[in-house]
Amino acid sequence: MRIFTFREDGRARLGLSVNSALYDLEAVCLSLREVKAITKPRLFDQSVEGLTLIDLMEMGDEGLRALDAAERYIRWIASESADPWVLRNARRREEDIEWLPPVTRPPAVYGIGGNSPLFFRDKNFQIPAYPRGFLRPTNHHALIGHRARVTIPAHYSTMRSSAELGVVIGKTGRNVSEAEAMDYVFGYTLVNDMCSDSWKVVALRGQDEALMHQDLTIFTQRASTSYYSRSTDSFAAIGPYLVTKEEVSDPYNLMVYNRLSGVQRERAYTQAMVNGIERTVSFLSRIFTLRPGMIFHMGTMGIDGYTVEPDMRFGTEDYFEIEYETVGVLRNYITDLRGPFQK
Amino acid sequence: MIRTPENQHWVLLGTAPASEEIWGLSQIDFPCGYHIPPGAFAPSGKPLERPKPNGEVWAMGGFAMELAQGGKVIRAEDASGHVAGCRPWVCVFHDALLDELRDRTHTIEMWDRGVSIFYGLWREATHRLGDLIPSADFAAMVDRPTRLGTGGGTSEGAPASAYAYDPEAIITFMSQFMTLSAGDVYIQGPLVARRLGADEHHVTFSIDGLRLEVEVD
Repeated sequence: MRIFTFREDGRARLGLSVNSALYDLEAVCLSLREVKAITKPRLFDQSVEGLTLIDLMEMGDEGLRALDAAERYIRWIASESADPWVLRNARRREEDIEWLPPVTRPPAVYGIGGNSPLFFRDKNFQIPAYPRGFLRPTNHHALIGHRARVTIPAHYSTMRSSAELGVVIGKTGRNVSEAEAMDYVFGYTLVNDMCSDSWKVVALRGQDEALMHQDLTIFTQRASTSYYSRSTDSFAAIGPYLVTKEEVSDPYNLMVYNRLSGVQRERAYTQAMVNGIERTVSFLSRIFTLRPGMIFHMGTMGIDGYTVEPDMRFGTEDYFEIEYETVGVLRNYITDLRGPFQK
Repeated sequence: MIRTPENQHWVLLGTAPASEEIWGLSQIDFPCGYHIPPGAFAPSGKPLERPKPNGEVWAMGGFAMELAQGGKVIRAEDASGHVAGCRPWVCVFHDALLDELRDRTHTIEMWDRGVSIFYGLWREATHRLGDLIPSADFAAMVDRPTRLGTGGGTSEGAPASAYAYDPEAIITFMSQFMTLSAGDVYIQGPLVARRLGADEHHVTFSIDGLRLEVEVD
């Protein structure tokens, strides 16, 4: 199932994507009243008004059963043998809706800093036997949805866009073994992990960057500014969908694309993942409690994402776009507040 | 104040007097912070969790600044109006990742040492915040020494005025790149620390008669 969250009439609502068409779940449930059938399908036992993805996860198997029933109902009604007119108020168009991150208030968003052999080879770092990563802010200023605008601040000369697989946790757990880790995964989404090397100036104060590998204080200040750059408002785009894990038969067999305004800039493959989903979920569960809605993004599968150089400027129609085969395509338009480039 | 999932929690490193003793960090020339998850705070009435596996555990005390009002690009002269006050803070910390990597004979790089610090600060239920001290009341305390007591004794620590950055400086810096919200918390770091023995289960952080007492299980 492909679930999304959008804002309409001032509140967040859940939707389902079925056969590439988008449906408002609340309107789908209401449409049942118009169905002329002796036995009507049973969807949700409660109103879905105000229902969030975290609520749905906390319903456990019952939530998945209801979603599955809603999807089968849509397929049936939308087919020639039924009456597609019944769903007339439920259809939505991708361009018309205000997309939100599928999980609007995740308890935590964790990202791995580097997770492909290319990354470590390029930087000449030892490959770690555990996920090295960071936590980023989870408020609505930091996290944006599909088609929302990424704002490049005036004082950032460069930035990077990295196409990453987001693993969404579905249930509470601690000290989870690698063997049972996938039981805690609800599904996948996409995360465009954006950052800016402009922060190096603050972190290094003229010192050689190589010193961060010799001096703990320099490492600490360099790492924190790397995470500050990721904490910049709008620098984490998430979505469009949360795709339940059954839809992705092998998360280590997906092609990855990173595009700028339609032009491909990077291509990679998830088989390159150094620390996999099972190890990451298990490792983090030994640090903190896994909670429904937590998102762990798995790092770049290429070298280090796509870098926006200091002399590049963007118009309002330019956009970042990342794609993971089967999971979706996440597009974000750019608001570039940097003034004209000066050498 | 009601805390919501919108609230963010940060801990500053290398900007408090006891940072060198615990982590070997020299003073850092800007408010250097790391985001920590809400689960790192023990629920009210529950003991802190002694980090596992067993190893050298530090107990530490200091203050956390809380925002009354959010905003973006907040000027230094306006910043004090955004501060609700400070809360006493106690944390138990263990460099667990380093212990684990040593056990696994993993080559330990600077990356691992650094990551182990903030992973240690993320650990479940290892932080406790006390009651909010309004800014006006806190101003009278900032030059008073702090104390941290465990079963093994009591250590006197630096006053809050020894922090490299005051709340106004933190707000001004952080709001340059992200929007701050009312209820956000910035732990300013340890003013005083003691090693916590395996048989010690009680930590008290105090200043001027104000005490934050926590149990550690």
